[in-house]
Amino acid sequence: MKHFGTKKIVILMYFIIFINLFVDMPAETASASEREPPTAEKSDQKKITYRYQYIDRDHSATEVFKDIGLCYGLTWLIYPIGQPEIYKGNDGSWNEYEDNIGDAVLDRDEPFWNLFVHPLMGSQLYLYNRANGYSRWEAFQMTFLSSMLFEFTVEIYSEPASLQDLYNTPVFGTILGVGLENLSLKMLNSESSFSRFFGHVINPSTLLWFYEGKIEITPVIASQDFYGLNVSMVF
Amino acid sequence: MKSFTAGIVILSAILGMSSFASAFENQTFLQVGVGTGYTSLNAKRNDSEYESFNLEVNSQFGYRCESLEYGLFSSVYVGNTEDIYIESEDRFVSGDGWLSGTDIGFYCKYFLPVEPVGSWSPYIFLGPLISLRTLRLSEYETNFDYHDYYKITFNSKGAQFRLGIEQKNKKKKEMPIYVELVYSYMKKYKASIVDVSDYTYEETLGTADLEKLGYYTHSFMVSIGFTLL
Repeated sequence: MKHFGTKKIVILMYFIIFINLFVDMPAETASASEREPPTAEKSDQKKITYRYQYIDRDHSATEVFKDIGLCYGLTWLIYPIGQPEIYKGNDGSWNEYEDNIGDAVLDRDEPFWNLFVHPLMGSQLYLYNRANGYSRWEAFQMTFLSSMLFEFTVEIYSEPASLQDLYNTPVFGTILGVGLENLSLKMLNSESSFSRFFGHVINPSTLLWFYEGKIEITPVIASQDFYGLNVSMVF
Repeated sequence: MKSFTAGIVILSAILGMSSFASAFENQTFLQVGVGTGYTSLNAKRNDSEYESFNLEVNSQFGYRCESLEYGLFSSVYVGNTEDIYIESEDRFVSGDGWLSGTDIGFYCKYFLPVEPVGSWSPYIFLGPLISLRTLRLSEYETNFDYHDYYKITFNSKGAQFRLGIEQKNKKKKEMPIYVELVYSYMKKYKASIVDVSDYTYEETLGTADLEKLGYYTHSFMVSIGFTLL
C-alpha cells in the first residue's frame, strides 16, 4: 500500500492511453497514396507551422535490416549501461550466456518491470518503427522481432529469456504505442505549446531525424489576389 | 516446460512468416480486452475456494482463416486477497495481500457456423497455458523469518476454455468487439518463496506442502475486447 499513489497514477495513465486507442484512429494515419494536403487554417486562428502525422510506405529489405540492426546494436550498448552490476562484472558471464541459449522461463520480476517498464520500452520501439514509415502491423512485427533478438541473444548474458517479456514487450508495447500515437498526434497538432511539448515527451521519435511525418506549412502571400500554403515534407 | 516454450517460439515464427508472406492482409490481427472474475489458489484458511477477485487485461494475436483461428494469448491480472494461510513443515505465514498473475499460451479458436444474434458469431476457444501467480502479503502473521520483501510464487500449467461472441462481417479497421466467458483449469507444479531484494534467494516448497495446499486451481473471468490491429 506504500506505493498506492504511484499505482493510481500509473492506472490513470494507462486509462487515458486506453481511451486514446479509439480516438481518430483512421484519420491520423494515411498511406502514401491516400494522404491529402492539410486544409488551410482560418485567417483569424493562430498559424500552425508544422503538422504531424504518420505516413505508411513500402520498405526495401535493406531498409528493414538496417532498422532492425540499429535497434539491435543499441540494445547491446544500452543493456549493460542499464544494469550496473553487469557493467561492473558482478552479474552475468559468457559461460552463463552459453547455458542460457535457447532457454526461456517465466521470470519472477516485479509487476513494475513486467507490466510497466517492458510495455513502455515496447511502445517506444513501436513508435520508432512508425516514425520510420512502417504501418501499424509492420511496426508491431518489427517490435516483436527486435524484442525476440534482445531476449534470446542479449539478455541471456545474465539471465534466461523471459516468456512474459517476449510477449508483453511487443504486444502490450504495441497496444500502449497505438494509444500514445493517437494521444501524441492530438497534442502535437494542437495550438497549445504546453500540449505540443508533452506530445514530444510521450513520443520522442517525433523529434528525431528519421521521423517522416512532419509536414512544414508555409503561408505564401504574393499579392492581394494570390495567397496560399506551401506544404513540404521529407520521406 | 521446454516443449511448451519451443511451441511458443515456433508458433511466433510461423505467425511472423505467414503474415509477411500474405503482405499484411486482413487475416493477421491483434486483439486487446479487459475482464474481471475470480481466481483460486487453494490457500484460504477457511476452505472457501476463491481467494481473489481480479481485474485483468488480456491480449491475443494470430492468424484467422475462414472459421478457424490460431495464435498466442496472454492475460495479466491483479486482485486483493484476504485470510491466506500457507504452511510448510512446521512454519506458517498467514495474512492479507495482493495476488497478481500472468497466463501465457497458444490457442485454437473455432467460429461456429450459426448466427444466433444478428451479426454476431459465436466461437469456442481452447488452448494450453502456463501461469505464474505471485502472492505479496502486506499484513501477516508468521512463526518464522518472513519479511515484507518476500513473495510467494506459484507456477502452474493447464488449459483455458472460452466461449464467446464476436461481431461479424467487419473490417479490422472497424474494430469488431468480442465478449467472452473464460475458464482456466490449472495444476500447480512449483511454489517458491522469493526475495525481491535479492533474486538469488529462492526457497522451493516441498511436494508435501504443495499437496497440502491442493494442486488444482480454477479461475472464471468475463472479458470484453476489440480488434486493435
